Amino acid sequence: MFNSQQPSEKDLPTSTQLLKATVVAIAMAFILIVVVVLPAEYGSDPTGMGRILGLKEMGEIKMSLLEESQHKPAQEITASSTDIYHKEETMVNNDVVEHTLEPGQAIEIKLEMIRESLAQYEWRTTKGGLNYNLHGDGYKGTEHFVSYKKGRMVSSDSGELKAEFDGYHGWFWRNREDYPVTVRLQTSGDYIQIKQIL
Amino acid sequence: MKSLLVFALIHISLFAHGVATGDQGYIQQISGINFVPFMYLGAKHMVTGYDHILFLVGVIFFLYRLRDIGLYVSLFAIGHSSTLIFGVFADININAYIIDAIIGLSVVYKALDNLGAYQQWFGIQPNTKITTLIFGLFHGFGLATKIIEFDMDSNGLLTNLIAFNVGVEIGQLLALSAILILISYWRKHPSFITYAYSTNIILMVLGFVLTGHQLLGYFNS
Repeated sequence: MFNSQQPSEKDLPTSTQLLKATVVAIAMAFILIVVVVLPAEYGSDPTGMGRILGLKEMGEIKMSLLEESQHKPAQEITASSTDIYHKEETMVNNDVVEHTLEPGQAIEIKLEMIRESLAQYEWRTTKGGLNYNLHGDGYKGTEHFVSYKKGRMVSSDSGELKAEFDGYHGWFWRNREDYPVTVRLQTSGDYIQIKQIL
Repeated sequence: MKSLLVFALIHISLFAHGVATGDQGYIQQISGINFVPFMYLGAKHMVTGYDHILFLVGVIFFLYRLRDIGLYVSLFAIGHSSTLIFGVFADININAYIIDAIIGLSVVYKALDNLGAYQQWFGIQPNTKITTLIFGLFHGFGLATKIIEFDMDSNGLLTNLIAFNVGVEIGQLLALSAILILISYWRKHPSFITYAYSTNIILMVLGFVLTGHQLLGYFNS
C-alpha cells in the first residue's frame, strides 16, 4: 500500500538512545535560546555572546524600530508637530536646516506640499553616512503613503521632489554610524512649510 | 507561505515613516557584511517556515536509515541553495504567492508519493531522489523571493547570501533533528504503521491548505 517497507527493528533507535537524544535536544534548544534568540530578537544578552556574534545589535535595532513604530503614528501628521520655520503661504521658499544625530538617533523633516508641486533639495553630511527614506504621507485620515527614494550609509543627495498627493513629503534619516553625524538640508521651491515631524 | 504573515506584519507596523520593523526592518538598517546575523535569519526562516518543514516531514516519513535521510536532505539542500543564490542574483521575481502555492503542492506530491499513489494510478514510481532535488529548486525560489522582499543592501550581498544559506542549512538540521526524535518515538509503536496512511492524508490536506491559502492571496493581491 505504501511506497515503503515497515521499519525493521535494527533501523530504529533504542529507547535509551531516544531519551538521550531528547535530553540533548532540550539542552541545545535552551542554549540556543539564551545565546542566540534572546539577543537577536530582544537585544538582551545574558551570556555576552550576542555582542561578539553581532546578534545583540540586531535585537537592539528591532526593539528600537518597534518602539518608534508604536509611538509615532498618533503624533505624525497632527497640527501639534513642531514647526521649524512657519511659513506664510507664499509659494516660493528657501530653507536651510541643520541637525546633529547621535548614534542610533533618527530625525524626520518634511515639506508640506500640494499635489504636483515641486521642490528642489540638497543635503549632505559633514562626515559619515546616514540611512534615509525620502517619502510622503497624506494628511491625517488619508491612507496615502509613498517612498520616493531610499539609501543606506549615504552622505549626500540632491534632486527634485514632486509631491504625489497633498501632504507631508520629506526625509527620514537615521544615524547608524558609531559617532554623531551632522546633516545639512537645503530646500527651495513650491511648498507651504517645512516641519520637523520626529 | 510566510508572505501572508510578513504582509500582516508590514500592515501592522510598517510606515510610520516608511520604516519596516522586525527582521526586515533590521535588514534595511544595516549595510555591509553581517555574517552571523544573516546566518541567524536563514536558520530562523527555516525553523519557523512550516512549508519547508512539512515537506521535510514528507520526505523522511518512510526513511529509516540515517544514511538515506542524509542523502535526501542533501539533495533538497543542493536544490534550494542553488535557486536561492541564483534567484537573488538574477533578480528572478516570481510572484511570491505562486511560488508558495507550488511549495504547498510539493507537500501534496510527497504525501501522495508516500501513499504509493503514483504506482497505483500510473503504474510507475517516479524517482524519489530526482523529485526531491526538483522540489528543492522550487523551495529555493521561494527563499529567493523572500530575500528580494527583504531588500538587502548590495554592499556585501554575496557574502550575506552565503551566510543566509548556511543558516538555512543549520535551521534545516535543527528542525530535522526535532522531527526525527519525535517520529522515532512514534515508529517504535505499532500505531506508526496503523496511522501512517491517515498521517499522510493529513499531510496532503495541509499541503492543499497551503496552496489554497496562497492562491487566495494571489487573487486578492
